[in-house]
Amino acid sequence: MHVLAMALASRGVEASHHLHWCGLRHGEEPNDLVGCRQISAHETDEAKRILSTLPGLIPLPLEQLDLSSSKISKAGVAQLASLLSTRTSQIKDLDLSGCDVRDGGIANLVDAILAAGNKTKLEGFDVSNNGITSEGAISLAKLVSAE
Amino acid sequence: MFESRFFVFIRGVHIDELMISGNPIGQRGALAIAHALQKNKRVASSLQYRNIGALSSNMTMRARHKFEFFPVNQHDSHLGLTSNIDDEAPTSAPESNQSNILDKGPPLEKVEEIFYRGLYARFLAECSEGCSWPSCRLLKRTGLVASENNPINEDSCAALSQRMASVLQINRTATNNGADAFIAFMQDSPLGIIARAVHRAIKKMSKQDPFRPADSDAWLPPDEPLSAQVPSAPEELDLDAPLAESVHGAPLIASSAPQALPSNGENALTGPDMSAIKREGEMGNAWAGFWGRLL
Repeated sequence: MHVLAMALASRGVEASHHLHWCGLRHGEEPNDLVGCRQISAHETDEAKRILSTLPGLIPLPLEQLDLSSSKISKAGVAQLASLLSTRTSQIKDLDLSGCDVRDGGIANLVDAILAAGNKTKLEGFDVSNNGITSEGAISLAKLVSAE
Repeated sequence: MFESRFFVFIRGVHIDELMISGNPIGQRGALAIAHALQKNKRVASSLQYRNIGALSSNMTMRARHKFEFFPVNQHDSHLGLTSNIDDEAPTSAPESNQSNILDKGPPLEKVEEIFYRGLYARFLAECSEGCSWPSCRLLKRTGLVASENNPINEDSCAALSQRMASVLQINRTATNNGADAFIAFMQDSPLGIIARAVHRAIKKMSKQDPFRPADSDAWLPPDEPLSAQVPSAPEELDLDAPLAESVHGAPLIASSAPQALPSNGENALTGPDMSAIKREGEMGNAWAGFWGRLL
């Protein structure tokens, strides 16, 4: 059986600081993510599944979301933006490196983060290797320069 | 390619790390972020670069860098460009004097001005121990290396030198806060290289510096040995390796041999006769002439 490249760590609040990894096998539902503090998915399909599911699971205790190397579609970006814009989002670290987000996606995500204002918990934001040009950088600059 | 890590505090949002490596954000994008960091006075900002892939010149900048934004003015600051120092929050927030740059986009003239002022000041700070090309410490810090597509040659030396001299003369009262723009500019520079001629000429200029303030100690390098400031280079980059002879074998524009110019008593090594310059306003023209003849 194909083991998805999604790893879960620290399942449940009680184990939130104890890092361990496990795989979500094909067919398992992302509902199992409820209670997870940390998620990693490095394949596009899994990332899409997660992104399509997470907004419906709010509030989540999810603090770390690693979707690196997953090709996230515009819809996925929109879903993620929706998640980030909620003031109940607990995400602290978001790794979207290599997700082909590009300038438009970055703009959406930055807007979402700013929309959450001081309620956002986001501390780490990795958008490396996303084909971001100067336009995307300027969007990120808005994030940086906002007071 | 580009990696950076910012430490920012915004809108109640506390972003410790923002990684944007591998994105062709270009000069404009890098400057936008850099100036945004400066604009936010509450920012304790640091910026690391890694693998800055040249957008136009195929150069690769592999060294990691950190920019620290210090309050600066024309005279009292050495540039805050340090290298390869991780996760040490700067102690002071910037005093931005370029708040409109982000909104309008930095004009090329401004970029050049910032860049050259920074480059110039950095040379003054770093070249006091003598030119050791090709093991230039500044070269090491920037990670600039020659490649087939980016040879160091007389043309690049001449063009860069000329442009640099020109901008410096025109913008002699401009800010010397060029650290933030230094690497960003270099990656997009068609020349994309710190030329040997500039290196040598700047070294000479530092001794008779038209920009040097009355309190010239402000321009001196820190007492701390440079070796203590520069951590080891990334493993993949042999910064000490000599560059190809085909690249460096070209005659120096400013060679070690004096090249007396016949008409005005100038020397290619020492520049114009500064004693003949009575008024400050003439210095720029004198240096421009020197550069022109040098090139």
